[in-house]
Formats: sequence, C-alpha cells, structure tokens
Amino acid sequence: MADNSQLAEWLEAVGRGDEQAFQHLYRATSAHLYSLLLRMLRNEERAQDALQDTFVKVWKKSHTYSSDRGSPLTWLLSVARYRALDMLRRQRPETGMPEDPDVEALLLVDENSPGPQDENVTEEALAAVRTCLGTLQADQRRSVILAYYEGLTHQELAARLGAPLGTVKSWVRRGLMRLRECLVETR
Amino acid sequence: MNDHEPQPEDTRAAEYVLGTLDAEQRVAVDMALQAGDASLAREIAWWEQRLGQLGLELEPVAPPAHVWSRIALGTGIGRSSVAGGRRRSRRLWQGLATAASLAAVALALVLLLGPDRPGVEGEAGAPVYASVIRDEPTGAGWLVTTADRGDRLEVTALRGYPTDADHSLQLWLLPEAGNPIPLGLMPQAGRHRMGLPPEAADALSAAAKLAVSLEPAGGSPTGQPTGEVLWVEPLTGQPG
Repeated sequence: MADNSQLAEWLEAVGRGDEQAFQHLYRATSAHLYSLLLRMLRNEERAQDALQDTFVKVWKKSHTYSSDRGSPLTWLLSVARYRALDMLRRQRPETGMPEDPDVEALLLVDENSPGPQDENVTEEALAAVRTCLGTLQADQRRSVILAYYEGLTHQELAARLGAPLGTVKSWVRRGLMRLRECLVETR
Repeated sequence: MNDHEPQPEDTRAAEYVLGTLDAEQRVAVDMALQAGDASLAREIAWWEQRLGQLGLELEPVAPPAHVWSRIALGTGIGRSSVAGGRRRSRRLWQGLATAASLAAVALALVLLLGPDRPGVEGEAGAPVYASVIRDEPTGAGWLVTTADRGDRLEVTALRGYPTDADHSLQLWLLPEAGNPIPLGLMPQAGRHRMGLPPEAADALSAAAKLAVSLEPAGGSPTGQPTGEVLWVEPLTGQPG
C-alpha cells in the first residue's frame, strides 16, 4: 500500500490530468472510502454511487487538494463523507443493511493493539484521536461517534439516544471542545 | 498537519466536518468559505484530519469492480485511445492500459508451454492466439488463448473481478469488420473453456480484438453488448 507521500504525488498528478495516477490513487484508497460509505449509507448501491461521485469529483477538482490539507487519505475520506452526508440529508435511506450492533465498540480497541495494517494510517494520529475520545464523557463520546459513522443530525441523535434535543446538542458541542483541547495537548 | 489551533468556544468548523450543523448553518459556512474565510477553512482542514482518523478505524472493503468502470465513464478517461477507431458505439471505449505487450508475453508463454498443453500440442498448422485482459485498478485479469486447434478459447482467471449477482462479464470477439461475436462468460476463478462458434473461429486474426462487457446475469439477452464495455484488448497471433 502506498504511503502518504506517494498518495500526495498521485493526487498532484491527477491535478495535471494524469489518468495512470488516478487509477493508482483509486486502487490505493477506494477500499478505505467504500468501507466508510457503507457504514454511513448502509446500502451497497448508494455507497457505490457515493464512491463514484467522490472520485469523479476528485478527478475534476483535485486541484483543491494541497499538502496543507494534511494526509491525502483523510482528505479523500472527507470528500467521500461530505458526499454521503449530502445523500443522507436529502433522503434517509431505506435501511438496506443490518444495524450495526455497536459503533462504539470500534473505539474500545486496546490502545496498544496494532491498528489497521496499513502504512497510510499514521499510528500516532490515530492513537491520539482514540486516546482523546476516551477522555470524553460517555454520552459525549457516543454522540460524536454516532454522528461521525452514521452521519446523524442532532434530531436523529436525540431520537437514537432518547435524550432532549438541547441535551444532545450540548453533548456534541462539549464533546468536540474537549476533543480539541485534548488533541492540542497531546500533539 | 498545520499548526492552526481553533478557538475553543467555536465548534462551528468541527460540527461542519462532523455533519451536525443544520442546513442553514451549513450554508452559512459554505458561504463564508466561498467568501475566502481562510481561518475557517484552516479550522475545517484541521478537523478533517483529526476526525478523518475515525474513518481509518474501519476495515477496508474493496468496492466491486464495476464502480471503477463507472468512474472511468464519468470522467471520460481512457477514451482518447479509441478516438478515430472503428467502434460504432460510444460505449465501446478502450479499456484501461492496453496490454498488447502483455499479450505478446502471454503468447510466448503459451508457445513455450505448448507441448504440455492440450490444444496446442501437435497442432502444426493451427494458429495460436492469445490476449491478456487486465483491469489496472483492481489487478483483475484473464489470460485468453486459443485451444483445441482453434475450436475453443481457454480463459484463465488470473484474479477475479467480482460483480453483483445481477451481472455477468461477457467476452466478445471484435472481428476486423462486422459486429461483435458473443463468446462466453468470464470465469471468476480457474480455467474455463468456451467453444468458438464457426464465425468466430473464422474471424480470429491478429487484427481482431477481444472485449468484455458488463451484462445482465447469464449474458447479453440480445446477442450484442448491452452494458458497458469494460475492456478491449488486442489479440496477438502466431500463424500456424
């Protein structure tokens, strides 16, 4: 698997219309994006549509990436995620896949356990986010995680968590503030 | 990552990235970004990098191969290589990296391994053709060679190309002139032999090509390609 500098090189080449680089980029990153899109959209066809839209957009607008946007892979994940959010906001899907038993379980992984075997994953950055999420109160953490992986709005979070809207908004907001403080501290 | 540290009281950028802003707030952020609010853009980039780590927690899932084909169609990449070609249909665009040189290698291999391979052995006088069909992004590929004195094609899946249950990959012979001739369905694994209809056997030549299209399960209902043509590859021939 390509590392970040290789991905950045390909993205830059894509900006010059390099089809080969585009293929390489797709091959190296599409499985990460598709996994997240499946999680958010819970429907294979919609996830495939979103993946397609994402890469068509990247091909047409790759000049909007610059190295100060950080790692190419997380940037691509953002582009994919915004696309999924758009789709979700337009129409909540007919659920085509089983509910995830517990997204939070994703983050209960032992900090010392190896992360995904992939050089794209900067272990330090991932560990920092894991650690810092662990410092959030449970309701805050759950809200942020559900919002990230399922693209839930405040209203949907309130319904899911069985809490008043104002309370949920506060959980998200305080959770993000705490997360940021922690991430800045552990840098 | 940049060193920008967002102001603690403002979670607008974070919630924009997380997706929890309502439509009105979201539009307001978009407008501020379009108006060139660099500080907000930096905050958003900062959060994209941090929250993006959560996306990397998930086990990667390879998308089905037809997604790439659709992307290639959507971006128009790969089309330049058939400009001025003899294709009637705009959908018959050239696949990905042309594998002419690979086909030559394949042919050499077939000839080299010939004595051990049924269909090649003792076939003085029967020409041998080979082609490699390859999907660059997924690494999927097939080796296609003639066998049984040119009466059959042998298709060996080097690496499968998953399709959903509603679709099959169908192989076509594109004669030097005339319509595509349906051959058979591409195997996802292993080696598969398909009979060559007489018209296809007659049309085999170094000027012919092979194409694979995405069809309804079981193959094209019309006898002509109805779905996207995913790859077109040349045949390399060794006269008998």
